[in-house]
Amino acid sequence: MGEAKATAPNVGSAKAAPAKPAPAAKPAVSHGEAKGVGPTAAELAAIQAPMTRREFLNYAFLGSLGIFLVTLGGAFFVFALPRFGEGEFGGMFTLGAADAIIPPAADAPRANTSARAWIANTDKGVLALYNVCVHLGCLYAWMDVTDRFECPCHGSQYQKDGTYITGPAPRSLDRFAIRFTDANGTVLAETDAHGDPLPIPSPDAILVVDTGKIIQGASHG
Amino acid sequence: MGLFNRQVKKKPENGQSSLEGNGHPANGDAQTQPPLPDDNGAELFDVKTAPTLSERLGDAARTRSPHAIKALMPWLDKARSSPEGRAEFIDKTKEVAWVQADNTVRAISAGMGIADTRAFFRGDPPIEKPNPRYKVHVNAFFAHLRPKYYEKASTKFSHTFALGYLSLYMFMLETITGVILMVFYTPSDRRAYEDIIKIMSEIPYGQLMRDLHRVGAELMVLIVVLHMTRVFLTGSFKPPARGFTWLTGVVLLILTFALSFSGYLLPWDQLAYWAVTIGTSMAKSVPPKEIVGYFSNLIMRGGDTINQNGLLRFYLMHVFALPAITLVLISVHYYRVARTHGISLPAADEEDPDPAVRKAAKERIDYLPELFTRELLWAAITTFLVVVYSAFVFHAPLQEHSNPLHTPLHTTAPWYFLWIQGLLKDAFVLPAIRALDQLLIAIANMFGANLGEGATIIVPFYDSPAWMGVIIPTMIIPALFLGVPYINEWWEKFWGSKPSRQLLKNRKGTVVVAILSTVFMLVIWYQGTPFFGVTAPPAIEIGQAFLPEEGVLPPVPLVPDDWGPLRRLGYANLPDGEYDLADYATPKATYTEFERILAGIQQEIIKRGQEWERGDKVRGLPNPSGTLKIEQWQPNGLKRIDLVITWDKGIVTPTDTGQYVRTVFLHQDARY
Repeated sequence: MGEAKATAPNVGSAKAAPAKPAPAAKPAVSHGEAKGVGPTAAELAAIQAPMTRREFLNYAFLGSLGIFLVTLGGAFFVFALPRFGEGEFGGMFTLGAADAIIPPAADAPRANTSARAWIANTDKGVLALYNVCVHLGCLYAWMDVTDRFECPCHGSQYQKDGTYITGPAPRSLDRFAIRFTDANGTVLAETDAHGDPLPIPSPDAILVVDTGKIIQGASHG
Repeated sequence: MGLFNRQVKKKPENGQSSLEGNGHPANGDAQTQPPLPDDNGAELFDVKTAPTLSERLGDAARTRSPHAIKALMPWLDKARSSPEGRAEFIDKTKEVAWVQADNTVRAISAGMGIADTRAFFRGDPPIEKPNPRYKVHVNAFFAHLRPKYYEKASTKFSHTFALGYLSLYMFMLETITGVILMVFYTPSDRRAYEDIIKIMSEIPYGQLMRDLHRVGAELMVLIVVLHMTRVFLTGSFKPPARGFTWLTGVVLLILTFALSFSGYLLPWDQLAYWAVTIGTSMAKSVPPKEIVGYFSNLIMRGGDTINQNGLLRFYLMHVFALPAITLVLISVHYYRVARTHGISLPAADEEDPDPAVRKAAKERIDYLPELFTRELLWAAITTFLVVVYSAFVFHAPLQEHSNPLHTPLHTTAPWYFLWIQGLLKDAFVLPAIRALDQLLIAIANMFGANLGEGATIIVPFYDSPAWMGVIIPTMIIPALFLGVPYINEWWEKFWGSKPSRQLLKNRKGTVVVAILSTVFMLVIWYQGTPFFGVTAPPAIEIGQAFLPEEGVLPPVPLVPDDWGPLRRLGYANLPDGEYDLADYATPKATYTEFERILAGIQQEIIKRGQEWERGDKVRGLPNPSGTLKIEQWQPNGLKRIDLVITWDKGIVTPTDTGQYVRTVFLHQDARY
């Protein structure tokens, strides 16, 4: 890189600077590009010398220090990971009876802030949509005027069932797995692996949202 | 080197006689010591009596008085006896006092005597030789950081615009104001917002400190970017040895962004909360998303949304980790500039065919006192401007308390991240991939594949936030790292072109690259603003224009945020009442400012009605009308403003209610 040849105009000491002779008598210091020669015999001997025990132990020592630092980094990572307590977002949320909680099929979806979900009733059944935009984490909202979900940050839009319409979002909205139980807790109906809408089994069935199970929306489906 | 050459006088070898009595014949030489030359045995006849108090005091004065007084003592007797002696004593006193004063000044100035100190301030050349100002560079810590002299042409203001110096100035300003703000700030989700309010309203000069911190932060980003642009345009990244300095500069640019962004969350208002949510969501899409993206987001936020953990993490990054790293890198960066290669000369001077010009460019200019004075002057001017600007023009914005359950409309990143936000709206690549997809589907259908509407082939493989938020911005960084100094070096070798730093001589390609990248940055910066790509329903847009939910950040630096015309008019100028906007359809010259705003809203409503009739179902409204209601909501200074916009219901969509209400509460002491 020519570091050795770099002129350092501001550095020289005051006394020596005016008539400082260039150190011309040191050709071996440059990287050989000027003369086109390789390393000197002494350099060659040093490079080709066999590894001594001290050299090996030094490398081993440095290597173990490196491993230690990497381990320390790993420990720091584990240390910095957040811990989640019981009953926080990520668990089950029992919302209540279907006829009280779920809007009629023709109506706008309802927001549920504790479960962070929009409860949407479509022709095919009920969905609990995770209320975070799959683009960059803003909270989208239902717009009565345009009859769709719109994100206020970057303009992604979704249909009532979470299907992607337009905007920079990579996929349709994510949804939570839901289930309907009766008063005794017996499961009447449960979301399948695809997260398809779940028809309401009976008006007094209780809606439970499993916020720990997020089913990703289809990519631009 | 008078300061360091003081000779330590050795004690006489014979030491004290009391040693002889302790029974230790420690050193045989001590016994063979010859008598002292002035010891003529007279003391044998002296009768030793206990010294009187005055004698003891006199002895103490002679032996223990300061060096300078001791030096005068031999002249004291003469001064007592004769007038000549007095004159001699006065002369001697002057001499000794001068030496004392001169030595004191040398100690304080770290190397310059009284005469040289005056010459320093008078602007005269140094008096002693060797130049005692260079001694200061050796003796004093802060002076040792600076070079003794610069090459004259490299100090031209029009060559560097002092941008590197100003970057460091801004870092110092941020450190000082930041520490003062830290005194009153608690990084807790329950107290942070309250503390900011307190800083702004109760603490003397608190608002000024916060504004200075904010102005300094914006200026720091601006100046660092300009500094980098300057170095690029003058070719100052070119060899010898400047490549690595550029590299540390790129890291410092990233650190400046990180410092600025990490401070964004701390006020804990809506602006902070959602801008940082967007920022950390970008990290979520770092591929592979399920591992790197997931964990980096979790580590930064300290949870799946930003909460107390996230605030504390950002606070620690902002006040400790990032400043520490930045300080280390500033040191490396500056050391290389000061010691390894110096500031580049202007290319035109350095490459001038006339050797006299080249020689004149390399003429020396001492740091002390010329450049030092110049730097002090720049610091003073900058401080003055920054303080005046933050005291009278710019106030750091503060929106409502953060609300994790509601994202305000038109949330934007700060202006220096708008280019990433523009990329994230993905106006080029996604439409292109869509079009390509349609083409592929058409071709597939030609061959009988029978793909219907909604079918996709390649679009699902394209992850927009990963590419636009992470991969492309990260690719820009190695491009800056390697691209600029190292590819440049390779390029010149490859083409065998004469390495020149003059822009219009041998660097025409550089000019083209610079213009193209500036245009590209401006385009994506524009796309980042709310004017592009984010449309809310028309009634909400009207509400947003006249009564925004929160202050709207301008897309440019150092301009205050805008809270819309009604709030700008102020609490005192909003008369209570219910105003049917249809009455203000035709503006009159006699209107008050308030009425002019009403007319403005009505114009916008009429425009939306006309757009509907023209067939624009997205931006238009069927038969719209509006009402503005202003009520005294609380007797002591709170007004409620409702902007109600109604239109024919059930036409736009079946569920459409045909009404939109934007409600805002305005306190008489509100700053907006």
